[in-house]
Amino acid sequence: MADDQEAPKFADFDARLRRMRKDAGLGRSGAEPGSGRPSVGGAGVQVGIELVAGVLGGGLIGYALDSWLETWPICFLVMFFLGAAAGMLNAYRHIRRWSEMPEERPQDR
Amino acid sequence: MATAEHSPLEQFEIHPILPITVGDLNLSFTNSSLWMAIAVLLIYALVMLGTRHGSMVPGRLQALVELSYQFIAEMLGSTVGKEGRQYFPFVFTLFMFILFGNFLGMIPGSFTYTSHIIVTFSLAIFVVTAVTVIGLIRHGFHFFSFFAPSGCPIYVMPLLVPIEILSYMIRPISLSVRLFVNMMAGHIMLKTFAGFIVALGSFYVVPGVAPLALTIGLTGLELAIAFLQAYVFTVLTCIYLQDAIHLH
Repeated sequence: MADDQEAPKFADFDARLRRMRKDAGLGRSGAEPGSGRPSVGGAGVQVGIELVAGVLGGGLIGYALDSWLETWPICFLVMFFLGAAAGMLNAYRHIRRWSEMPEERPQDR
Repeated sequence: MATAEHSPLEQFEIHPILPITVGDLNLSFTNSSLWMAIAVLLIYALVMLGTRHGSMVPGRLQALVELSYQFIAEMLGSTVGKEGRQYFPFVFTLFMFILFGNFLGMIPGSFTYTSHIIVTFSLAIFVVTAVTVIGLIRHGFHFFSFFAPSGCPIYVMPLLVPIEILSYMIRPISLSVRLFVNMMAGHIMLKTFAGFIVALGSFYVVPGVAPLALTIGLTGLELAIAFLQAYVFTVLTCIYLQDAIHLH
């Protein structure tokens, strides 16, 4: 009966699991689908969204500020370009993160 | 062939199932709410049934629950580190809700609530707000040093700080747009190609085979995207958490 047994020690369990994984020739359990880095095409789409979101977000925030302060189109113009820059910054970070990810799936191109 | 009731966009329409109006607010229980409720019930049932026995050698259901637990636990561990442990319930709930939303949407005739920008945007704004609050609680006023990268000359600060702040404010937009665009585009594509089966098949059956084959392939692709987008949303949440906890 499972209830009668003492709760197994997790540290012990971890150690045993690691040993068995090593014996079986399995790496760290990074074998789940999708846990490798996305393909270049996939990453490209993500970066594109980042760029669009920058312009979109900047424009929206600028427009909201303008309708609040009644300064159309000053805030919109400033925020539009700042947003574009922020989008590029986000895209750059995205790419940097992506290139730091381990390449786990061998067939990735 | 695209008559009003066979439009590829028809699947995104929201119908009230139980009309409720409070004052001027429309709080109807819609098909979107219905599928969200189904997703929550299914997740609850899966986790509850999966952990019922708690045997040392897991059965199929328990293995599934353990697999998803381990998947999120490892994701949190590798991106956030030890401090991320306490946010596990939040991240796990988020992942399961999006994953089930994406997968349930693949059932013909169902409704994909993650294909609506308002749903994904609510999730994203909640994530970013929560992460900001966590950062403020952990670091207090020091949290704002996040917007001033260390080691950059003082004269570029006036330009760089607004860009950093804006790039932080854009996070919920890019996070939500990514999920919503992927789901919506995939479902429109599926419906469009499925429509070609009828259009070409009514010719002389045979030409309909090509779009049918394509639709089968696309369905597989969509299943992969359904998982991948839930994963991406959760990974980005983890990365934002990491940013807030460790401040670069």
